[in-house]
Parts: sequence; structure tokens; C-alpha cells
Amino acid sequence: MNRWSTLRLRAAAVTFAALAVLMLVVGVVGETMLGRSDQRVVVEFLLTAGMVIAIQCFVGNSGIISFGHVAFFGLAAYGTALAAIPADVKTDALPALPDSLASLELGLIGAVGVGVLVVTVFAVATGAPFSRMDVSVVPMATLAWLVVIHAVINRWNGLTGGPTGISRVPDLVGVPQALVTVLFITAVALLYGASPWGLRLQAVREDPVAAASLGIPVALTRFIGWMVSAVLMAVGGGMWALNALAFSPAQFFFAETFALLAMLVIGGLGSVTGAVAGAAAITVLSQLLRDLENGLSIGTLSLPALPGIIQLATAVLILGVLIWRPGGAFGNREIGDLLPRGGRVK
Amino acid sequence: MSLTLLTQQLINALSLGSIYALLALGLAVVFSVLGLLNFAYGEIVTVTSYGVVLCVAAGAPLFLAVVVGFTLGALTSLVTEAVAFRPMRRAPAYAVVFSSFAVAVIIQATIRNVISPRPQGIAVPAWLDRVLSLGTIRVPVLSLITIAIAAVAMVALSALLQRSRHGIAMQAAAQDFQATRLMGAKAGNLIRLAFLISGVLAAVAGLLWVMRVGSATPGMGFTPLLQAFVAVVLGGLGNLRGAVAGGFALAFLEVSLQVFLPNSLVPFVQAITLTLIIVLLYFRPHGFGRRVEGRLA
Repeated sequence: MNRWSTLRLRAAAVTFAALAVLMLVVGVVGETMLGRSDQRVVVEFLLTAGMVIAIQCFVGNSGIISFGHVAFFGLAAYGTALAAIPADVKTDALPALPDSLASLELGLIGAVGVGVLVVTVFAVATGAPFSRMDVSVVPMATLAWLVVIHAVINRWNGLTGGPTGISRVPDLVGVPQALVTVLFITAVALLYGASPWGLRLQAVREDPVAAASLGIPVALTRFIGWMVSAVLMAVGGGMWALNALAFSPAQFFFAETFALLAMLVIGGLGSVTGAVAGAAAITVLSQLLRDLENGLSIGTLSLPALPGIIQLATAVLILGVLIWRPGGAFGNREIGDLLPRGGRVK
Repeated sequence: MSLTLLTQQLINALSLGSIYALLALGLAVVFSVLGLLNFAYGEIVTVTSYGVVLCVAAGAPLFLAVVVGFTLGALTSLVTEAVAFRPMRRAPAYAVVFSSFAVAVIIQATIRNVISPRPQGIAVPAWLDRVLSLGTIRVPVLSLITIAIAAVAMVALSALLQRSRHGIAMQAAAQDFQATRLMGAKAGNLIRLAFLISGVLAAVAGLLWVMRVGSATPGMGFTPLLQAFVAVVLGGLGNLRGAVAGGFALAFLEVSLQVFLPNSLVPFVQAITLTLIIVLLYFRPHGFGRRVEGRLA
């Protein structure tokens, strides 16, 4: 478990190639055949898939559920947006900002870099305690962490604009940028899963005591997984902010956590392919039910608005999938394993 | 700070702590038997609250409203067991986290659609709303009643676990589930009993909670769930006495932060409390109680 396995690397490469082809198709169709507003949905889907993959990186390999990744999403979105919004807009909308931040006006890479930096700091601070905790406690602790970050961004009006949120974020992300981002996240996640650190984390997931007896540092291994996952989440979240243009703290709380975790569970916790498939399934479901949720009128017939119908359908879907197949649709399998000569190793 | 104010805040913390302790107990009872946390636990509080609020709004006497609320709360717990836990008996632990989480979302979305997404207020009876004056100290009647009801519920739970056949079987199950089954106890019954007890405890807490906050909302179960989690973790998982202690400790921490922090920081009390607790858990990853395998009461 101390060396890179060529077999695993080859399997990861095959999976990456297959996923890349699928994403490219989505991206090319989105870029060439859709209008600007539908393109936003495509970008949103690609980046959401990227964030689900980022969560999978930790949750899938460690078997520990995290409710806290959306906190990283929020931190990255705010960090990126505050670095990217033009200075004159900031002095107008957020007059209480410190000068150094108010005058900051970075481009795409620099702004996302700020988001990643912010998240890295907080990921170290949370990863240190979380990686040592009793495994059954970590979901609770990550939930607490989500509540903390939500409360801070919701109430620190001078920095974040409070509950009304942030608007006039520059529009820097289109389909091509989103495509590159999600391919990057996929590559890093697959590489991590095939790396000695990923392998060790999977060993710790299966049996922490046995893994420790083989000399694997359990806490450090979990910590590394947490960091990789948080940084990827930050990349996705920062890019998301530059596509969303305006957002508020409510978007980084319970509903989003539930949606992202639902995608992960439905597709399969143990697989990057599953994360993408789950993201696709829930995105399609949400688009289909969106009209129903807001109330629909066909001719003279009008249906009342059904608040939360998307969540309800998602929850029922989760229950169904878990009862049918507790490991999710793909379980631990990657798309590469399903292709002929994909080199299945798990 | 004057002694009067201190006493008043002390009573406030005690009454809040009583609710947290009840909540933590209900969560810990299920954990001690199954080793799993129920993420739909907060919805027992929600459903009980709606039962009470809607009955009172319909003009039913308080007693009847309470009976309806308790029945609904206990039912919610049993249904959660049947839908989210029983089909997952052989699935990995994380599957139950998600399935119970899904049940919580289903209950919330149903309330939003069937009743209303907006808060439903409750007209708290006048005698509950009164404030007693003992010399210079002013004590809300509701706080005293909360403390009394919680104490009765805890004594009843303790008696049930130590004196009754089923209670002893549950204690045995917490120690060694397989051995208890070999002694002739039915696993399904034990688990259902645990969920029933858990549901009743949460319903009592839910009743006190809705009286305290004055209205029911679809998402109201989240805070009680989180507080119960924190209390249980602080007290050491699976340790019922620890859960009670954890509940009171959490309430005292919250109330003291509210009293002693400068006004500008008061909106951040919950965030600061949770951060402190995460820091505490860094130094004591297993909480403060002993993690006692099999000592329920």
C-alpha cells in the first residue's frame, strides 16, 4: 500500500476517459445547441457533478458521512465572489469591507484561488478534530460545522451582506470553463482514489483496527482525504459563484446538503461514476418537477404550488434506492469496470 | 450581575437543560440498543408540536391536545423504525443515516404541502404564561412546570429500565444484543420498544418545546435534533446518564454565553457554542462520560 499501483492507475484512466467523453458530449451540446439560460443549467449541472465528486472523494473512500461540505461550498462561493466583484460595486454594496478586500479585483483564476485558500484554512481547522473523532460522531460534528458557517455568513452583514446575500458577481464562467473544472475534479478524485493515500483510506474504512495494525496512521489518512475533498469542493464552489451571479446564505444550508448527498447516495457512495450519474438523475428530476413546485397552469386548469415537492421526490427516491440496493446504483463500481477490458481491481 | 438575575438565569438554564436532557435521552435509548443515530428524531418534536398546536387551534382542551400530540409523536418514531431502520438491518450504517434523513425530509415536505409552510402559532393558556414573584426573583410558571415534567419523565424511565421485564431486557440488549436474543428476547420487539420510549421522550420534550417557542414550523425539528446530538456526544455515546448531563451542560453553556457575551456577539451564540464543542471534542474525541458498553441506567 505504499506504492502506486499501475493496475489501479490504468483502471482510473479508463474510467476518466469514459466519463470525459460523456461530459464532453453534454458540454458540446450545451455550448452549441442551447440558449444562454439553458446553458446556465448545463453549467450548474457540470459544477454540481464536480462538487458531488468532491464529496465522494472523502465520503466514498472513508465511509464517513459529512454534512459539512456545503459549508466549504459557501465559503468558496463567498471568497471567490468577494475577490472578483469590481471595487466600485463593492464599496457601494458592502461599505463596511476592509480596504484590502474592497480594492481586490481578481480574474477567474485568482478569484477561485482566493476561495480555495479560504477553504484550505478552514479545512485544516476542521479536519484536525474530525479525523480523530469516533466515526459515529463525525456526521453530527460536520452538521454542527455547517450550522456554524451558515450562522456566520448569514449574520456577518459587513462582510457577506447578511441574509440578502451578494449580487453583481461577474459572469466569468460558461460551459467551456465548467467543463474544464469538472474534468479537473474528476481526474484528481480518480487519481486520489487510486493513490496509496486513497487505498489506505479505503483500508481504514473497511477495518480501522486492522488497518492501524498494518501501520496505517488512521487519523492522518482521514485528514488527507478530508483536505483533498475540501479543496476540490472549493474549486467547484468558486466556479459556481461566477456562474450564479447572485446568491444568499440560505443556498448553502440544509436543502443544498440534502440535494448533494442525495445525488451521491443514489449513484453510489463508492464510485465517482455514481456521483456523476446521481447528479444527472437529480438534475433531470428537479428540472421536470420545477414547474410543479411553482404551480402550473395549463389553459384554464391551474395546479396549486407544491412547495418542497422536489425534495419530497428526492427523499422517496433515496429510500427506494437504499432498500433496493443499499450501495446505490453503481455501488463501488466505476464505469471503467463495466467496459470490456476495463481492468477491474476492486 | 446581581444575585437575583443570576438565580433567574439559573432557573432558565435548568428548564432549558431539562428539555435538552429529555431529547438526548430519547436519542441515546435507540443508540444504546442499535448503535445508530436516528436523523429523523427532530421530526418527532415537529409532529408532536403540530398535533398540539392544531388541536388547541381547533378549540380542543389542552389535555386532549397533549394526548393527541403524544400519540402522534410516538407513532412518528415507530413509523421511522419501520420505514428507515427495519429494511436496512443488513445494510451498512451509513445507509441508515440517509434513510432516516430521507424520512425527515418527507415529513417536512408533507407538512409544508398539507398544512402550510408558514409558522402556526399556539395560544399558550394564560396560567402557563404567568410569572411568579418570589421576593425579587421572577420565575415563569412554564419553567417550573418544564423542570417538574422532565424530572417525572426521567424517574419513570429509570423505573421502567430497572424494574420492568422489558426494561431489563433492553439493558441486556445494550450490553450484548446477540446474547439477549439467545436468552429468548425478540429482537424486533426490543427495537420497537426502544423506538417507542424514544418517541415518548421526544414527544414530552416537543410539548415543552412548542410551549416555549410559541409556534410550530415545518423545519422546527432541526434545532432539537442538533442539541440532542451534541448532548449525547458530550455525555459519551450510549451512556444515558451522560446524555442527561450533556443536556444540562449544553444548556448552561448556552445560557451563560447569552448572559455574559457582549450584545454584538449574541446572534452568534449558537455558532460559538458549537465551535466550542467541536474544540472540546478535539481533546476528548469520545465525549466526557465513559463510553459504557451496556450500562443503560
